[in-house]
This record gives sequence, structure tokens and C-alpha cells, in this order.
Amino acid sequence: MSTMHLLVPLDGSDLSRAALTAVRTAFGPERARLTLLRVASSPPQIPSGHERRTASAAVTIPEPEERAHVYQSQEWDSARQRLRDELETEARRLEKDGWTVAVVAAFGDPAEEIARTAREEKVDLIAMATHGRSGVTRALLGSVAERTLRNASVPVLVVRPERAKERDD
Amino acid sequence: MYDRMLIPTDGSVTARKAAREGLRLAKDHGSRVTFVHVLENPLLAGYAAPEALPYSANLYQDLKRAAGEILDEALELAKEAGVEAGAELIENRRAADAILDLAKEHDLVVMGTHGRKGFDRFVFGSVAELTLRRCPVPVLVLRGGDEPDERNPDRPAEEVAS
Repeated sequence: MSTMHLLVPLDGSDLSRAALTAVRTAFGPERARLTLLRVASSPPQIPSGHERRTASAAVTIPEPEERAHVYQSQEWDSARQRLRDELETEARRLEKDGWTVAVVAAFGDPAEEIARTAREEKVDLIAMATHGRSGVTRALLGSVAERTLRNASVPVLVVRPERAKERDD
Repeated sequence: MYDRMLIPTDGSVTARKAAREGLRLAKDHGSRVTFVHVLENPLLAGYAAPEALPYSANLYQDLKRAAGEILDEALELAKEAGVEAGAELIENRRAADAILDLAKEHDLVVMGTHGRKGFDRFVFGSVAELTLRRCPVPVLVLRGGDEPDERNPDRPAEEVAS
């Protein structure tokens, strides 16, 4: 069987890591490679053209407003780096067990970024955990998982973490 | 590894696609597959007793026969794929409830949703949705109409040859 390319979106929670457990159960490192994805909401909006203004800020004394752009751009980079660092830790753990792992950090709406990454990376399957919160019926299937199911053109392995179940069974 | 795989089937194109996909995975894992078809008695959806309707018994028998054929077809697919399989016909239960009960004895559920371009909550397979919300084991969800080699993504599920 050829190698499958699996996308595993993680949100930093233990719950989301249940998808990795399921993937380890379902596939071995010899039959699948992984792309771990972490999506965060965007840092404060950077106005378009910020890079040009950032460059000019280097040679002129920046207005306070322009300094803000430089600051925001740095924020953006360090936020991306933080996300990647988190994923790298997870990736190294998997690599120790023989998995081939790539990491992607993205900003924006989680469901949209998951669908976009699945398309761009041409994955064969998305494996994700749902936040099985009890209480609100509609929220039982996490909204990100639900929207991913609606938009994804590839199979989705949906995992409800054991410990997330409360009193709804 | 998934030793026991549950594949609900309603005989639709989407369900057949899910069955084929599931069987591929089952073959790969050496899993045993259980196909399940749930016969929700439509006559019990209302409040009239089935006996009150003149041909209710015949109708139910027809549905039951069709269900048997659906499961036989699924077992045939499994045989072709070289996968050990069994079939369960569950009567008079809500499909999602029956699937969830059986899921407890399995490691993975593979099922299709009747995906359509631009589909909304209403057409998202309600059985799949109800199952997903409460399923104690992972569910592999396959959308109908998206064959891997399908070049025309705008084609609705019904037109995809099975």
C-alpha cells in the first residue's frame, strides 16, 4: 500500500492530541506521513503595505504609528515561531517512533485553514478530535470538526476523546 | 490496529463508497468487518399501529428483503476484497442508536455522508451526524461524490458511477 499523507490539526490542547493517538493506532509510520497543523487567530491586523513602511522606518525616524507596524510584524513572526515550536516538540516525539512529520503554522479561521492546508498539501485524510463538551447539544460535535466535515473533500477521521465525555452517554 | 470495524450501510452510492474504503482499510489492518443495516420501521414513525394499515406487513417485508439484499451485496464486496465480514440487520430502532450500540463492540466506524456541493446542515446525513456526536470510537467519515480520481468536483454525488 502506498504511503498516505495525513493532516492532523492540533490546537494545543490534550484533547486535540487524541487524533494523534488514533492515527498511531490506525496507521504505522511505514504507511503514512503526517503534517501537523496549528491554526491561531491572527495577531492584530497589519495594514496592507506594512512591509514598505517597515523598510522606510529603518532609514527615517519612524512615527509612533509606523513603529507600531514594525512591532506588529515582529509579533506576527514570533507568534508563528511559537506555534511552530509547539508543533516541533510534537513532531520530534513522533519522529523518534519513525514517523515522517512536517509542521505548518497558520493564522485565521481554523476550519478554513484546515481545508486550505488539506488542499494545498494534497493530503489523503484529515484526522481530528472533536471537543465533546456536554451541555449544549449542538456543541457536542466541535464546530471546527463539523465545518471541516462539511468542507473537506477527503475522508475525515473523527475522534471523540474518552476523557472529553462527561455525562452525556 | 483496528481489529473490528463497523460499516453501516443503507445501500446508497455513498454507503457503497464508504464500504469499499472501509474494506481497503480492513484488508490493510487484517480487521474483521461488521456491516450493519438498520431498518427503521416507517410505520412506527406515526402513531398508527402497523396492523391498521392494510398492506403494512407487505411493505415491511419488502423493506426487509431489500435490506437483506443490501447486506448480501456488502458481504459480496468483502469477499472480493478478501476481508472477513459479518452482517447485522437491526429492526425497529433508530439508525444512530443501533449504530452507537454496535460501535461499542468495534474499534472504528466507517461511514459516508451524503455530501453535496454547498450542502448545509439539513442535508448533512443525519444518521452520520448523530453517530458522530456520541460515538465512543473513532469514526472515519467519507463524503459522497468525491471519488479520489474524480476530475469534476462539481458533479453531484448521485451522478458518480458506483
